[in-house]
Amino acid sequence: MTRSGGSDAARAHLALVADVVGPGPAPLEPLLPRIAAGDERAVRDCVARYGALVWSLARRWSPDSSDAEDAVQEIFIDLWRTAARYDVSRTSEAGWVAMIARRRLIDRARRRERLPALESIPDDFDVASENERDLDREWRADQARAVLRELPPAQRKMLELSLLHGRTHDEIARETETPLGTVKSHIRRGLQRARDLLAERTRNEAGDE
Amino acid sequence: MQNDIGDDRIGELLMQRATGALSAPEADALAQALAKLPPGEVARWERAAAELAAAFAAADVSMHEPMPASLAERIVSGGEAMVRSQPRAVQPATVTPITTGRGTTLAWAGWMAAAAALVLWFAVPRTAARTTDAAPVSTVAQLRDSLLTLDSVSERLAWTATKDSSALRASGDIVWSNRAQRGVMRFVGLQPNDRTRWQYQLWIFDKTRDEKYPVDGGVFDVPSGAAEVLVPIDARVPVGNAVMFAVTVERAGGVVVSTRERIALLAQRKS
Repeated sequence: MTRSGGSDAARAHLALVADVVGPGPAPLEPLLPRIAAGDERAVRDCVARYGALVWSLARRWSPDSSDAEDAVQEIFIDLWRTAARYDVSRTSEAGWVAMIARRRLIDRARRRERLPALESIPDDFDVASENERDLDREWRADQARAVLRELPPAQRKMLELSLLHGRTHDEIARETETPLGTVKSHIRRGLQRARDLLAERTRNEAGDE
Repeated sequence: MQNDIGDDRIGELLMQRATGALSAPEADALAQALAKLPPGEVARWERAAAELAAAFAAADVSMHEPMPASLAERIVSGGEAMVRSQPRAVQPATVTPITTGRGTTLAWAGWMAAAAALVLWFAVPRTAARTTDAAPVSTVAQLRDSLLTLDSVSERLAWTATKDSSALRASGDIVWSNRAQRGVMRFVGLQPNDRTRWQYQLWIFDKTRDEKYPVDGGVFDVPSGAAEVLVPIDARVPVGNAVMFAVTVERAGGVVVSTRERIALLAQRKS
């Protein structure tokens, strides 16, 4: 896996990319529905807003930068094609982008390992229960960040290595010198706790309304 | 089907799937456990993983690594062209029904050579065509997803477009499960047809059968204005080991004798 870190040069380059793709739109304006409606100007906005996220995920999940470039292009094509399936009231846009990116990256990784592809988009990905509807997507993203802070350090670390850096469970075990079973246990408990906390916060918020 | 899998094991399988670590046997185990799960549970785990990945990224300043400017510009240019030229490509998929003759096969000779050399096919008469009702989009999409994610023996094969005019900008894939005997074709950019004049026809090449007789996969349409089309496959003749799929352009209602000149798409399993 490729590792990369931030730097002044990198941030300067980010500014250059921002110059190329233009300024992003207002933070709360959803972009994928505009793309689904055929607004090609939203494409540039979307790359400006999510390019760094997708690129950085791809760099971490890919063996080299060339492979990462291919992955990023595939991910954005997936985003254009699935834009109409994104529902602004049911998940954060960043979450949707991350989901599309992760599925593509997982699929590519499995192909490299000659494992069966799992790439697909769950039909009910953004199908929520009644009390999950009409909550602001940014609120949902905030909740996800809050959930991270509530996770025990070990669970958070394992999840970060898996979800953000694309490490396999075996790689995490070696890297952290932790038994594989413990790694799996931490990830499972962390993910389950995150899932429960997100659902609980969603229920509470819906109840407060 | 046994369903005695414990909650701990189910949790582990859901985690494995959400982190992309599900093996084929584990996919089978999860498929068997689905009945015990609330609807949408698999997606909830994946949603949680995706939201957390985005949150991790937002919290990590090193994630601010920039995309190369030239790559960003390529993506923007390609995306704008895609949205501009195919404005409906991002609309929800259209589901089209399939018409098929029950239990029919098409005689053929030397398909593998035909695929390359485009020789003539020889046909036997088809029985009366039968049309199935169109299924809701969500149902077909769900079928495709479930085959992909939960059926470890299902395969996804990308279509290879020929130079036929109907397929110049066509892409997509076919998902097929020999075990379930079900599948879904997905098409993007395949030319809409005038069903009063011509239709597309699917042929399934079964390794366990005489290679002269591919299974008739049925006749289907690509509606005008549909950017992505999903076509469910319901094989009416058992398919033992599908090794190749072909979509041909035929006259309305399907053909008795197929010629090589209108092969639109091929998808072949790598041996």
